[in-house]
Amino acid sequence: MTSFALRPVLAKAGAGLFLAAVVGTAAWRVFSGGRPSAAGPSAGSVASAPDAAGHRHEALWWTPLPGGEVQCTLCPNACRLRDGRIGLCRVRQNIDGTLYSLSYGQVAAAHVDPVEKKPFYHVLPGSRAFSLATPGCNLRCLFCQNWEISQSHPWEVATRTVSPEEVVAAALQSGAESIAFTYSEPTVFYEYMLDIARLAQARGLKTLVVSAGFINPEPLRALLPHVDACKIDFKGFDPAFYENLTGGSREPVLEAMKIIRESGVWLEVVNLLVTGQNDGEDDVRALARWVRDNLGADVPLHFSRFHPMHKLANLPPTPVETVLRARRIALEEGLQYVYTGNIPSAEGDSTRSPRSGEIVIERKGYHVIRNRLANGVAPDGEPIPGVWK
Amino acid sequence: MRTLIMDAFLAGLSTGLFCGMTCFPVLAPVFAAEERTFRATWSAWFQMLGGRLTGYLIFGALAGWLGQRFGSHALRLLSTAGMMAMAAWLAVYAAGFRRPSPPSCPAARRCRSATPVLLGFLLSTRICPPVLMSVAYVFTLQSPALGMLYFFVFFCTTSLYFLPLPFIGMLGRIREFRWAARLAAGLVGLLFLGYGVVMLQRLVLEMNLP
Repeated sequence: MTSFALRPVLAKAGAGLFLAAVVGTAAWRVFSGGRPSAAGPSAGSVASAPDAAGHRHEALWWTPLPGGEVQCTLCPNACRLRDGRIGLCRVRQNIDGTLYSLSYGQVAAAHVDPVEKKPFYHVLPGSRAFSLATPGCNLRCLFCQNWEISQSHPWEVATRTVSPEEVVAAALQSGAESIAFTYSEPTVFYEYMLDIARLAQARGLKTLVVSAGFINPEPLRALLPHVDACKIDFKGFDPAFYENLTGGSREPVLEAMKIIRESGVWLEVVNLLVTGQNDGEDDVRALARWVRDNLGADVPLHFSRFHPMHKLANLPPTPVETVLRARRIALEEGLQYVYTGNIPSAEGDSTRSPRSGEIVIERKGYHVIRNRLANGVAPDGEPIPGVWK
Repeated sequence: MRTLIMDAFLAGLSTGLFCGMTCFPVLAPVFAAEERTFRATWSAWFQMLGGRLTGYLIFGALAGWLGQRFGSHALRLLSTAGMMAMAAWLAVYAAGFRRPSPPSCPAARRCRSATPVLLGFLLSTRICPPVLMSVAYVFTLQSPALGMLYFFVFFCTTSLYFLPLPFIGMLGRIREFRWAARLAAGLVGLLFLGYGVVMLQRLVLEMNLP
């Protein structure tokens, strides 16, 4: 008797759940734009850093909220974090109502590289850059080439604790002329980068930032006085590409590039061409036009070849011809310095004078074969913009 | 050839769950909205797969043939149009269950019976991330035949994740579930239709960017 009475109730409840599941999944699909793979974990992943407390450093750029929450204002992700939660970047945590950087001084990679490897083609050619990174990143690029460190919490990768003073001392000892914040995303180790940059400049070293440019305007403006050159990894001109494959968005990056340019800090732009995703002629042409009209025709633009990596390991490498075609398109659009990366190309490796077309810095891969610039001026008298001394 | 098949197989296997989740809100209501026999449920399932396979093969051939010339805007336009057609059909399908029956009742019945195959076909034109990655791969093959082969294998593997659908179809024997499924079909149809309009607007704006 009871089971008879229960049956319609259970059926109605089940039907209600079914309705909620179907409509909920559809709504999730619509409002997430169908990008769970690039979005990764949501802001507020649970902290389980056994040793994080030992390395914490109070963060800059955040505001306290009622109830012990904090709002990170460093990047456009704008993570709002309850006590104990870690931001999307995996390295900034709310501990008792204060935002801390967990990656301060936690070096996951440090090498002395040719500056051309960053790539900077208009900064101290042929010099070496002391390059370092900590774990973490505020994007989720499916094609990330350094995902082992960029997509990790500080305690998930081997790190060494190195103070800013030790970094600068090591850089000077190595014979490098600059310190490059690179490999992962320096935005997320902002405080560490800033402290090193201040010290480095005082000791006569140049400071180079290799970033995706996904940062808010105020922190960027505060950083730029301590930086000599920025290289922005622009992911692709199609906003959908940004949303679906990087977990970020395009507009803040465009804004960041304008701010860097206006500040007078040297800027170079790199676009990794991912097979079939952002390497269409329309995308490349739109990017070249935007750079020309908003940054200037003399801003170097590099097109790099994608190698299958991370979550896009199933894709083939970008065809060499696609990279060369991108360079041709950008030159057609009036850009003066367009380079290619990760492919052997005599044309795309070397710097030419826009006046005569003659080679002024000849490169082979990351190596400078010949540098004919004198104080930044080509033999034909054309000044070539950049950081030359 | 072997590498191509393995790549398609692994891509389908690893991303099939996402495929299934993407298609679930469209297919689940259709399978639960009608009281079908066991045989009719499986028949609808095979019809849906048939439509999906046809769509994938056409898509694979086109992508393999056109390669990079198949611009990203064209691809997204096709995908959005396919989604809007699918959403409109789903809404019409749901409306067809109203009582009293509309005067065009025989037509509504015919439409209803064609729904699994048609939705299967239209779902194959939706560019979800797994399909997007596959399209990018197929672009590089520069061959319609290889493109079709890739998508055939991709289809077979991802179909594994559609196996629960006939079991969801069994819920259609319960009156309350049929009612919920019809309501869900209407709501999902309208939701995707609205989303399609927004996507179209965005696409037009982007195409007019300098």
